[in-house]
Amino acid sequence: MARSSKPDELDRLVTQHLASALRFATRLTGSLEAAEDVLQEALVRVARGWKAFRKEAEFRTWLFRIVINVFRDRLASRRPANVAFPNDLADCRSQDPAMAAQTGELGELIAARVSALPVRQREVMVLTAFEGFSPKQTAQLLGITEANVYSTLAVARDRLRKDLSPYFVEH
Amino acid sequence: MNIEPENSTRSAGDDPLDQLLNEARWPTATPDREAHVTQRWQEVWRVQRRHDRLAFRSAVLGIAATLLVAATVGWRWWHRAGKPFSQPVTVKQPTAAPDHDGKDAPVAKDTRVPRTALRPMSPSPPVRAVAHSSTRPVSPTDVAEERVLSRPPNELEEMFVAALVRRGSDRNRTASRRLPAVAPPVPEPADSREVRSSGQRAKSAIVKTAKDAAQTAVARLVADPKVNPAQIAESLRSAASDNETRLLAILANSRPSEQIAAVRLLAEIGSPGAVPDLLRAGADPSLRVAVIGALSRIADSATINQLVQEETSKDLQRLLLAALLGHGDGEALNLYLSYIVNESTTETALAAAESVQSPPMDLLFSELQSPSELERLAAARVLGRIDGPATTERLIAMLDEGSSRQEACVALLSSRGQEATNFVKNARTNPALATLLQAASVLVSNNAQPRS
Repeated sequence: MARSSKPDELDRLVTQHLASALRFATRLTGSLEAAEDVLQEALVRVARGWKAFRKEAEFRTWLFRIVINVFRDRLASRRPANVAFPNDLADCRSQDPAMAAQTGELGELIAARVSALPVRQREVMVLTAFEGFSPKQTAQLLGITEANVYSTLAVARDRLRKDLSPYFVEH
Repeated sequence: MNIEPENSTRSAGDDPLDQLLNEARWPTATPDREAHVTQRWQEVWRVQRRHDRLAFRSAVLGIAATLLVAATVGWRWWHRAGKPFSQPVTVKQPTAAPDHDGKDAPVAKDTRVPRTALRPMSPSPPVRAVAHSSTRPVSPTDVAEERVLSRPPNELEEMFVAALVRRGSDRNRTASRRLPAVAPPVPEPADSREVRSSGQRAKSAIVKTAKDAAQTAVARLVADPKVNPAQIAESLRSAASDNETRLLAILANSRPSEQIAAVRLLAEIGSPGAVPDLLRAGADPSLRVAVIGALSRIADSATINQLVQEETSKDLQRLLLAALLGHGDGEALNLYLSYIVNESTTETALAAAESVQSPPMDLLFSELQSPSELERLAAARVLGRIDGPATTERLIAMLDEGSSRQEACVALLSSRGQEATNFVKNARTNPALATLLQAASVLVSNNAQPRS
């Protein structure tokens, strides 16, 4: 049984990882405002449950797990309102990919596509492709098997490949 | 710790999808937003730490209290078991004491019982010997030699004893505060005063101090009745209960001028417990005005209502009605409005409204939306009588907004202020308002009797 983290150390760790957590929440929700709400709720949970944090666990993993839990709770509580995905993105293929790239909107369109994936696919994709977690770490963080991570990742990539196919020409 | 750069992705491979994903750009948090989140975290963390500390202290206090209670209960149990603490005594064991079987008990030597050897729950061998010897016939010499084994209290036990003694002293002091000081003091014989305990002396000192303070305050108010009694009463607030008792005693057994002063002081520091004495004092006509003033300060609305109903003097009735209106709560206001509705007391109640310094304006305005038309019109007439530029402005605003327009008109017509009079005069030239005012005039001229 490891000792709980000391309060001062926890304060330092949270402050150190706040920007990272906010970025992660933004990638999950697709919106900076929603990400800020999620992170604030997550911080409240961190403060209330700081004694549950064990030193042997990586703090970033622990913090991200709380962010994911808050994110899921918010989705469950108000699923209809959680439409971070802009409505006009469905027509993005009708736009000229070259024009989109030139106007600098391509990055935002891709990000929106990632943030519009189904929840589990989105979590796996963001953690592995953008947050640098290994499949093993992702499996541990999400509470699923490593094989499940690989299969989910494959489905998500297929989906993105199909959605973003008009832009492959440019790259 | 691995902190990633902004919007970094894994390195792009040969897969075009990976190259596309590498281009993904989410909204970037501004420094202000990050600072806001950091500030939020610091607030949450500070509150949580305070909560944790409080919880820890509560737990420690709870454990300490539990231990203290357990120790106290244990000490009391020990005390009741007849094991008083005292110094070890040297006892002489009677020789050849027969035991239960008729055999001789072993002869014990003269000994001093060591303190550390004592076991309260399991008697030592000498004690058992004494217990066995109690079965034999007891002679006077045996009684003289009967021994009680005991030990001196340790530091913890001494602390408990001191706490209990102190608590007993506090209990005596509390009892002295409950003594009815109304009763005249009975002279005590000199010898009884000499044998007073320290607790009794403390009690006497408290009563004497209260007596002196109350008498001094009464004397000051008698000497200069124009002095604000609230200032004099400040010195009585520290021991308000004792001083109230003493003031009631003065009210019962003093000259009229002192009684009036006592009543005025009671209005400042009195509690609802003083109401019965004040009501009795109110039977004296010379005290009635002062008593009513005091009751309006310390009595509840039901008591004042009862006084209004029993009062025959219009002036005193008006004073009581003013006290009822000035009470400031909804129940008192409803009682007061009932006197407006009652034709026989309407004028008295309206006159009383003029003498209230801070009437409950918000409650009166809310009564304009009462389901009862009688109450609405009564509240409107009271508002009109209270008058004032602010009230008139608020009533005119109600007319503009179209809420409770009839009641607002009644209030404006009942008002005698310059602003309201000017408004009514101008409004009569406005066709829409003129009709409304005419209808309200009918209500006012008909003694505010509502339409059926």
